[in-house]
Order: sequence, then C-alpha cells, then structure tokens
Amino acid sequence: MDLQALWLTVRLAATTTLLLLALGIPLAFWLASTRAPWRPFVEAVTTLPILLPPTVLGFYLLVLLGPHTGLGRLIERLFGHPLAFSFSGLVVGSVIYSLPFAVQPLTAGFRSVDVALVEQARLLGASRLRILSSVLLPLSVHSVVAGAALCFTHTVGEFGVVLMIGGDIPGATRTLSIVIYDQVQEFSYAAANRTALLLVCVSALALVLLYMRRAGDGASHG
Amino acid sequence: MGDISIQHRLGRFSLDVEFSLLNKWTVVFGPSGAGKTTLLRIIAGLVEPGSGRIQLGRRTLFDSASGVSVPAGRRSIGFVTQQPALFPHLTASKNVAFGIRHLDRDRRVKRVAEMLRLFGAEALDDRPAFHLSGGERKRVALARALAPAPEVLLLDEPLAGLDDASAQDILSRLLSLDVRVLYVSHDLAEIWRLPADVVFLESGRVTAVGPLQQVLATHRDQLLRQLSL
Amino acid sequence: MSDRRLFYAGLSLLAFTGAFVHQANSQQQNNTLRIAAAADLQPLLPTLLRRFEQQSGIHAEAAFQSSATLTTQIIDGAPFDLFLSADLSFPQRVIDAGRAEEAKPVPYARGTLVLWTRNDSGVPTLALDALRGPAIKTIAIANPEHAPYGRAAQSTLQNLDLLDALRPKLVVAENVAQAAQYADSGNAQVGFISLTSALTPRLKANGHFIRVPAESYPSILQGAIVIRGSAGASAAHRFLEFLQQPDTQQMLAAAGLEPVR
Repeated sequence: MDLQALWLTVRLAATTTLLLLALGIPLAFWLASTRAPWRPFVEAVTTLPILLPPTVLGFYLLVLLGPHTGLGRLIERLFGHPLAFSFSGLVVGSVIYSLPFAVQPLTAGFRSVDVALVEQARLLGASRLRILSSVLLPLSVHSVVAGAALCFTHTVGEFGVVLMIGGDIPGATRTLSIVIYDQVQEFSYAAANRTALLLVCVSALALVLLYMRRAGDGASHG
Repeated sequence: MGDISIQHRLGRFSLDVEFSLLNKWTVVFGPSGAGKTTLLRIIAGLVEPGSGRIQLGRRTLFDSASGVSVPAGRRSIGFVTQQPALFPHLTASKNVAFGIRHLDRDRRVKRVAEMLRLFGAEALDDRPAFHLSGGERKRVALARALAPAPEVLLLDEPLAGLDDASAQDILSRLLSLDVRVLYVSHDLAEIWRLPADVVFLESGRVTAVGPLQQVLATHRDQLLRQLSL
Repeated sequence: MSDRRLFYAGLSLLAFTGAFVHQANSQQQNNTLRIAAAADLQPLLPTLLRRFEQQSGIHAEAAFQSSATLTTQIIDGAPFDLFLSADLSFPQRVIDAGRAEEAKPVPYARGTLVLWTRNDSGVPTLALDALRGPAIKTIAIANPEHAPYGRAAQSTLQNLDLLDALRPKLVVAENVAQAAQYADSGNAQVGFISLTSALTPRLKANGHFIRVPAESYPSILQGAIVIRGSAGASAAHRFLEFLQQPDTQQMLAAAGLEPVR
C-alpha cells in the first residue's frame, strides 16, 4: 500500500478545498448579489472547467504556466521553480479544475437565502462582510459543506490534470489515482484493486460524513 | 419634520408623490397596488428612486439633483415589513442585538432587554427565531427595529394576520413610543381611531393629505364600498 | 406537444439512432484494417497508411496509445486486427494470453533514443555527462515501468552510473510522446524522447538533439502481431509484408525508425 501517495492525495485535496472555499465564498457572494452586466460572463468562465477534458486543461496549464509565458516566468520568480512537476503546481491545477464544484453550490446557497433577511441586515447597518459572515454563511452551511465535500472528493479522484502537469514524482505529485493508473499499466491488477478500494473508501467516508451532518442539521432545524 | 418627493417608474406602474411629515404619526393609506410598499422601500433606502428628494429633519437622505444617496444602514430608519424577517438561526435576543453592535456589552444587553420588555416579549429572549409564532415574531421584529433608536419607524401593515387582542396590545404599545412613525395600511377599521395625519395614495398618486378623520370622512362612504370588495 | 406527436418524435429519434449505429458498424466491418499502434508511431504511421492504401486498396486506421494500454485493451477483446508495439514484451503478453496468431512477435523496426532540448532552454552543451551539472534542473523521461523508451532511458542512466545522482531531476511522463511534450513546452529542460518525435517538423524547429549511444541501452526492438480471429487478419498480414519492403523500411529510417536487419 502506497501510504505516501495516500497522504499526498489527502494533503492535496485538503489544501485545494481550503483554497477553493477562501476563493469561492467571496466569488459566490459577488455572483449572488451583483447586478453588474458582466456577471453572466464571470459565471460562465467559472463553470468552464466542467466542460474542458481534464487532460486538455492540464495541457493548457502546462503551456500557460511553463517558462515561455510571462505568467510562467513570474511564477518561477515567485516560487523559485516552475509550477509544473511540483505540489504547488498540482494545487493550482486542482483549484482551477474544481472551481465550479465550489462556486456552484455556494452561489446557489447564497441565492436561496431570503432577500428580506439581507435587506433587514442592511437596514440594521451591517456591512457587506457582516452580511456574508452573520447572515448568508450561517444560513447556507449545507451548501458550504456540500461544496467542500465535492471539492475534496473531486480532487481525490482527479487524474487527467495530475497526469499532464504532475511528472509522477513520489511525495510531490504521485497521487493515488496516478498510482492506480501506473499499477494497471504494469498489469498489477491486485495492487490496483487495493489502491482503488482505498480511494473509494476515502471519498465514501467524506460523503458519509457530509450526509450524516445534513441529517443532524435537518433534525435540529425542524 | 420631513419632506418627501419621489418620482419612480416600475414597468407600467409609476409612483409620483410629494408630501411632508408634520405629525408624529403619518398613515399612508390606500388600496393594495397603490404603491405603498414601494414608497416605504424607497424611503428606507432599499430601492433607489428614479428621481426626487427625501429630507428628514435637517438630513438629506436622497437627492437626485445633487447625487446624494445615504445607504440604508445609515438613514436612522427602522423598517418592519409585513412578514417580519427575523434571522432564523439567531435567538430573539440576538436578533434584537443585531443592529446595536456598536454598544458595549453591558449596554447592549440592557438595551435588548428593554426593547423586548417594551413589546411584552421578554420571555422570548433565548428562544430561536424559527420557534416563534407569528405574533411573537412581530414583537421581536419591532424590538429589533427600535433597538438602534431610529428617527423614523416604517411599518408596513404591522397588524396584518394578528388576532384582535395581540393587534390591540401591539398598537397601544406602539402609540406610547416616542418615535416618528410612517404607517402603511389598507384597512380603514385598523387606522380609523389613530391620532395621525394621512397621506391617501391611489395608483401611485397622492389624492389627499391632512388630519386622518377629517380627510377620510369625505372619502368614507366611497372607501367603504371600495374596501369591502 | 400531444402524446401522439411525442410518440412519433420518439420513434423517429430511435430510427435515426439505429441508422447511425448501423452505419458505424458497417464502416467498421467494411474491409478496414484496424491497427493498435504505439505512441512513437504517431508522427509517421499516417503517411505509411496512405501509401499502403494506394498499393493494396486496403483502407487502414490506427489508434495511438502507450503499448501497455493497447495490450490491456487487446487482451480484453478490443476489435483490432494488428498490434504494432514499441517493444517485444507487450506483444509477448498478448501471445501469452492466446490472442495472437504468431508464436513470436515479428520485429519490424528498431527505435532510437535521443536526448532533446529546446534551443532556448539555457542548456549550454547537450551531452549525457552534462546532465549532472547545475545548469540542468529537470529531465523528462517516459515511465520506465511501462514505456519502452523510458526503460531504455533508465538503463542508459544506470549504465553511466548517473541514475542515483539524477533521480531528483527526473520528471516522469506517462509515455514517450508526453515526455516530448514536457520538453517541448519548456517545463522540462531536456527530455529522453524517441528519434521519431525529434524528427517531427515542430521539434526540429524548436530544438536540437544528440543520439544516446546505442550500446548504453538494450535495443528498442519494436514487434508486431496479428490478432487471432480478427476479421482483417489477411489485410494485417499484407500490411506486415508491406512494412518489410525495402522502400518502406527506407521511409521508416527517414522518420527515425531503423531497419531491423
């Protein structure tokens, strides 16, 4: 059993999820509350990663973050190394790849909060930040948890992007899904089965925790 | 004390009103669809009108000519809507405390208790808002709106859906307050005895202004016919 | 929409789909040679297939994957007629599984491993012993566990006693074509890639290469087999003969695959 890959996968999924919440909550708040004419375009762009095949997305990232673009050179100066073939590169790829899985449920959650509550908060002098933290977030806990669980499991099962920009480096970019793929390619089906089982267990556990939470909340909220 | 002049279009409907607040209580009266709620939402700052001017005492809250528009939270206006929108995840006390975060803890706690007592809701303090009945919600919503000591309290059909006893109780508590009130209603029986001025609103236009009994007496027969429909 | 119109709409959609499936099936059976081809053949095989069609009148189509993936697919019954692997071990697996007509893979070409870099990669001199130097930080190789060119690259580094020193610099691509992609996009400074990739117009324009000395790795003999019981078996045999023709072998050599003999 490749415990190093398991730990790496969990670390990648957790980092990605936290970053996506930090990024997705303000973005979803903006999407849910703005009347700006370019809102549909921003919403479309955040949804696009669902459409792109992961390997294609990975290829674009490889080129875009490589040393032949200004962005790639900037990143290399900041991090001291190019993003491809590194843990931070995988994090960047996973964040882009799972962005819709954070933004969609969060936006839907914020939009489902009664407008009258937000208006009352405004009348009582609450800032936008306070409206978000004291009204919208507590009333969309389900959406936040659902978004986080989706991001986590989606990243755990991510393959195409990692295959394209990872470089299969143990401890840095060799995730569980890559290990399974390598094992299948080497005809080690028994080992692949074990790893796949582990992957399924990790994801199933995350989902079970999510649904347990939901049932509990449902009971307390009547 | 207050001058309001508003022109606002909403699809085919247009609101074009001009009136002054001269008395402590002013009732905006008219059939449903006359634009009463829109008027309150504009005064509260939830809707920006097409043009006009809203003056409260010496403060200008909105003036399209000079581009002034004070945000809703800084207008010193309390607004209790027809469906009291309490924060369902907070207790009654925390709802009331929402608008007075600037007070220190002791004064905040005292103020919350005082407000709940004012509306006979002191027993509800740590009950979650989603467990309250309709009448209890209304009392907590009123306490919440008054906690920051607003200059004007906007009430949109505040007694609708309540039984007579609670309606009378809440109304008498409201009348004893020292705050200017702008009260929207379409129920003649509910407002008939109020010591108030009336702004009579029909299809987005003010058709009569003055002391309530005096203005509405001339319309009474016509109104009774209209409103009984 | 009324129920009846919905019913007719559904019926015509079904008929339409049926027609498509039928057409797709008949195209597949229609005297087409289906080739499972190793990824390093991608740059040159399409030209060969056109030439073969001119000579024989047989239309051929190829699917390109890593040899390992193709092996799995064939053993699991994928409808191919011919397997052109990048080595001898993968066709041997197909033979062991009883899915091949031959008892031994037929060698059809010999692959050449090269070390390639972009012209602007900042690598002063391209040489195997220069890999150790501080100027080179990342080296792309194909996965040695299941890609023949990766295996060759690994044994080269082993034979030159470089493997342990270079291990932190290695980035592993899934197949040799991806190793070329890593190096061509500049994410890896140098790459051990196939001569067939290095000779494509794009890589010729972007970079330069040196041949890895042939004695430093076991030769990359590429083997073919005809899939047992396939509809296009006779066409597959004709293509194998075509591959052995001197002029075809010359074309292979020009594209980076040397003759076997």
